[in-house]
Amino acid sequence: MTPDPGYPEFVVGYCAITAIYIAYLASLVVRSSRARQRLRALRGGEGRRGA
Amino acid sequence: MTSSPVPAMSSGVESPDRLASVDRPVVDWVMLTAVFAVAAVYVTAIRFTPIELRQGIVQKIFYLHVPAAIAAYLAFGIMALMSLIYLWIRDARADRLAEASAEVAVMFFTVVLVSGPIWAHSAWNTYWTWEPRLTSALFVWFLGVGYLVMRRVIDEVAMRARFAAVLGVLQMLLIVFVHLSVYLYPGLHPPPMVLAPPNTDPNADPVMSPEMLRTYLTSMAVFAGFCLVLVRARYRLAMQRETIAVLEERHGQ
Repeated sequence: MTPDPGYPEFVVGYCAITAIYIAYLASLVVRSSRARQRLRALRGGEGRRGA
Repeated sequence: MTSSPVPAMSSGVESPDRLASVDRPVVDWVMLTAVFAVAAVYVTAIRFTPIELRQGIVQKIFYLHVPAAIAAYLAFGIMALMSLIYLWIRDARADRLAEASAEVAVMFFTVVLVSGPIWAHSAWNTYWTWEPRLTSALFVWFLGVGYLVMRRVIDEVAMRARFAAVLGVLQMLLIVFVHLSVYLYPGLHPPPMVLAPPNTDPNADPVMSPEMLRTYLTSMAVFAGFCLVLVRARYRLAMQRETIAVLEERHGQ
């Protein structure tokens, strides 16, 4: 059976695409997590002022 | 369009209800469902779809490459529509949605521009050629990145939204050109199969086998949904950032 000549490109292509999606999802999670932390800190400050 | 002050940019971000609504993680059941659906497309394409006879297994990149392009079109379309709406009624939500869509569109276009050359190396024996479709797609990507960079460097909110909206509308015109470029200037890149004029020849061979077509259409639907879910998550992040800016201004930081 002859090996498929396009196999390396197939593997590299799928890995590259997956890496981009994972990197973007991770960046969304990290940025949102930081924003929520900052929000909580600011709201905590507001709560202390209100009290 | 007038250059009057923009009252709509204040959109009630400081209300207690709004503060509670923005404090939600981007990964929720909707996001998890979308990711699961994308994983199912991978499995279907790799395991349950036949290998194309002429190109071999590398043709399976098609099931991720084309849907990513369609998702990018969708996101750019939302961006252009929201840009128009912003220019019309000056609503901050439209600007936020345009920003979210633009980032997601650039990400999907990155997928297209990375996966295309990898596939081309096997199919065309070259990673890149300066033919009209590839060149115009690269221009759109640069324009998308420029849009995002421009948003970061302009501090004044109303000015940023207005400039971005104008650029967003103009960018959509280029997207139309990218799509039509394979008809206007035929090159190495094949014309589209789904967003294409109908084939009037009743004796024409089917473009794909039923299994391939099923995987392709499923992938298109899944990635369109994935695109909308990512725009939703990115919109939520934009709301969080806007709320932070309002609170910081109130605290004098």
